[in-house]
Amino acid sequence: MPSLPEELREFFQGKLVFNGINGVTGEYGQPPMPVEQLARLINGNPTHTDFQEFIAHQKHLSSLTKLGQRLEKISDEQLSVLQSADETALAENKFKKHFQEQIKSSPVKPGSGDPAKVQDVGWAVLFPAEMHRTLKERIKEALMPLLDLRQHQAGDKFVIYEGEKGYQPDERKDLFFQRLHIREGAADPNEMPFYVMLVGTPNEIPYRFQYQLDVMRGVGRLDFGNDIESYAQYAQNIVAAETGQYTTPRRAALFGTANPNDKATQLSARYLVDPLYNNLQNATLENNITLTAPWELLPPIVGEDRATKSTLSYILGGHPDLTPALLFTASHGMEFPAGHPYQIPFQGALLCQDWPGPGSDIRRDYYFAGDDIASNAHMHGMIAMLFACYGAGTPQLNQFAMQAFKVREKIAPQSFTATLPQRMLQQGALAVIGHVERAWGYSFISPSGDLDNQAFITALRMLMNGVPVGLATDPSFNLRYAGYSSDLSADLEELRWDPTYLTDYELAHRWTANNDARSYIVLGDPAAKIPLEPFTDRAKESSEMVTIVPPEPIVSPDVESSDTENIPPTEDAADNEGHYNEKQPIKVTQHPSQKEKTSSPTPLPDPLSADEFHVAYGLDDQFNKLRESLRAFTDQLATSLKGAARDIVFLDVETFTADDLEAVSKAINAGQMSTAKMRALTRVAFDGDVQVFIPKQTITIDESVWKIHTAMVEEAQKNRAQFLKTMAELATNLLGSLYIK
Amino acid sequence: MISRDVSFSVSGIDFPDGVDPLGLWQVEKYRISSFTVDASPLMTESVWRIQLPDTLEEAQNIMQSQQYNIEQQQHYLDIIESQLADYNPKENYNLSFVTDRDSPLATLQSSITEISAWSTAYNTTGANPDYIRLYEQCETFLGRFKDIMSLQRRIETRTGQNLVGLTHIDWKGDYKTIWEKQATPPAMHLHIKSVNLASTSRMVVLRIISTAVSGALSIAIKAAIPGGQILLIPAVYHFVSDMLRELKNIPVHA
Repeated sequence: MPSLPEELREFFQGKLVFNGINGVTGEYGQPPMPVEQLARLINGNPTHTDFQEFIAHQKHLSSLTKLGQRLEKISDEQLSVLQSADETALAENKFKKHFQEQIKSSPVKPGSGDPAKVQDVGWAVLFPAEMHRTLKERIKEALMPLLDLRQHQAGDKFVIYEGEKGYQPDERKDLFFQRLHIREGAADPNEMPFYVMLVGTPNEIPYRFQYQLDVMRGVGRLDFGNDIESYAQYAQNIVAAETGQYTTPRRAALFGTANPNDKATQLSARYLVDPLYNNLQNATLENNITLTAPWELLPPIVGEDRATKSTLSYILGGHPDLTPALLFTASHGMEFPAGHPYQIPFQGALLCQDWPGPGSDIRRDYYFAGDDIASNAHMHGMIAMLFACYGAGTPQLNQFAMQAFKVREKIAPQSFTATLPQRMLQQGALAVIGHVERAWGYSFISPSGDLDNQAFITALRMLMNGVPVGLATDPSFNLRYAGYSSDLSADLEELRWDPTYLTDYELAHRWTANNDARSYIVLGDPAAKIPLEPFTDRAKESSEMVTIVPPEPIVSPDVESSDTENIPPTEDAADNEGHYNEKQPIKVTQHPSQKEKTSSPTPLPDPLSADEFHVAYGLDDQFNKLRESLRAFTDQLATSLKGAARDIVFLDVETFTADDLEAVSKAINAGQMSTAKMRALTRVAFDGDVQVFIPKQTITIDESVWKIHTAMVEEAQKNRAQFLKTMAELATNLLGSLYIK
Repeated sequence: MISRDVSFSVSGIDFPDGVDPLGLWQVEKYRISSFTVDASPLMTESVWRIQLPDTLEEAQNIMQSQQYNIEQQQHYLDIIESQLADYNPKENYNLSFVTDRDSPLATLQSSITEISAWSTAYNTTGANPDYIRLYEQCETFLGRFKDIMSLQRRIETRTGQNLVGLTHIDWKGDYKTIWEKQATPPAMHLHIKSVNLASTSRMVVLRIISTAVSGALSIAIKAAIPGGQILLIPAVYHFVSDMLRELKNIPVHA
């Protein structure tokens, strides 16, 4: 075994456990296996025992279908067809890997413009050529608001691929390109737009095509089957988001199960979710994309008592104070035998913390599927990333079986899209990134024990900066896939000649990482981005302001100096009578309405049982109302503290002067605009950096105003520190009151 | 004694038991904004107004004195906190410096006994009017507490007839100050002291509430009173306020 930190050894002792729980048997969908066995199967060199175990497992699963219907030997000819398709993809991956530094900065052909802008790189929709004409026309009509918007944005780089130009059945990507005279390599928006939205089921446009197209483009899929209304609703939602009809607060949530005695989720909770949380808390971190605005990260919802189905229901319930704009989940996904009645509605459902672990029966109330989302839930503006087996969908055939045993294993009657992301898109989410097929789940720990989660971090940070989802997955998962794919191909070739070229762990890691990265797809419009609330960086917004650095430390004047002379007006912009010509209107910021601010956020479900003592003494109703009132207030206090902690990044202190302060005061009382002239703004960062801004027209700095301004800055700093200390004590005491039994 | 030329007033909030526990701020009823359609008060901010004499020296002395008072009261609060932590209602433990029947301690003990009795004699077939009264008191308390904590603030300082400075503090703690252009530096520094005084007063009141919450919790545990950790908050707050007044011996602004 390669050298691993001690704490990781326990995860890699014994057999590797993979993501995915069978909903009928309650066992792992892919039986745990030693790493040596996995390595053999990756190489396509199963032993006789390996094959026997595989067949036995298939028999175990084939209660609803006959073994012969599940398995079909692949002929060499069929295998070579599949391999040539893979080779094309491999070539493109090699290209991408070779140019990865360039592609990191822009995945499109140089000179094409900003890949984050549809107007520069274009947008297309691709229909299956053989989609029923009436259905296609109805879908197009339902999507018309979105198509109009994109056409308006993209201009002559807007394309509808349909009919003869649509996707032909079972067409390989390279042949599709050849047919439409699109060159391989970096995306040229003039040949084919960068953003491509596929419309249709994965039977009509296979997942394989989506993976391959996605290597060099931003691709998403919209699949609501025949549900025309869902297409219409989705289109309206995207348009509303893009045209600023609503915005979402910068709030993200990370949800990860750590089921008892289950290595796979213990690993993902500890080495994926927790490190992601720690990373995303920092707006600026070396070697990471800088967040352009502060975000509220909900405390990680991980493990016991937290990552439950009811908590997930709450988060996805659309509560305005809780529902995040960005959601990441890591858990097992549910699997069902091919053709099982639960397969279509529940495959890929997120198995929550409620599951007691391996060896336990699976109950419906352990996993969260599409129909667990309430019909009145609103997830408007959300983008979600689901790390779970089959979280985005299921292909008809198992890729792993083909590689390992050279058999086609039917794992579903046909390829289909998972219902959970479909439902999320129906309820307002803009896009869902999820996994097709099994997620292997060892890909974020390298054989040396280092975290290898940069793909997730990059994608999430880009989404948090408002980058379109199809672009956010590009330098993260697509590039990772490209890198691993080309490396893996070379490694497998070397291993044929030199079996010691890679250790089994190294091979297992590369292979699972490659598969995990390849199989992420976007469901939804790939140009969708989180419609973030505007972030006002007041230091930068005024074109009238310049930055200066004080030349020397300023000392507050002695009050007793009794300088009673009037402050002479500065000479800038003053007329002969000493009146200031420039009136810079200011609007005293009104706090959000009292109702809005003090409305009780819906609290998370109380993990403690009801207080039986109170019920027994008959104080239940009124006491509970009081307690709930206090709880709601405490939650609000916690939210305010979180907000304060987020906003403590900067402290702004502004100084104005007015000719008639009484008039200003009256205007403020009347809620009207007032006029006062800004003289200085000091911004103090949490790390102590100070920036000072004065109006550009200022010729000389008024010393007395400057000194007073500085004194006020000191006062503000003292006040904030004291406030946070007091609030923290108060919150602690209140929480003690709420949870005493 | 505060002179006629001097006043410290606050509008837009009310203190939990209707009176400033520091004995400094007089509550003015909510100002009604001229542009609202109905008569309901506009409650987006609290306004703290400080009226000082127009004589600089006198104004400075007054501000200095009030700042000293606030510091003293914080010191008294430290003492009261530690006494509350040691207080055990079941042992009728007397705080060392209070003994008579109308004392804050006696009042607190009486409240504890009353609430404790309800838990064994609660009439489940009908509402206990005393309990309802206490429940309403708690609700009012909580509402006023929310206002003090969450409203943004405006602090205005006048010397004589002149409005010297106006500072707006939002809920994040960002400051925006508008100065009268003709204001002198000493007058401006008075306003900075006003801002400090108003902010510190608010902080101390919040600290008193925090003390009441932790005190109620401690007593509820020791006296085994179901729900006492919440129901006792107003009584403990009242106790702390009374203790502060006793220690400072200040008149109450009704």
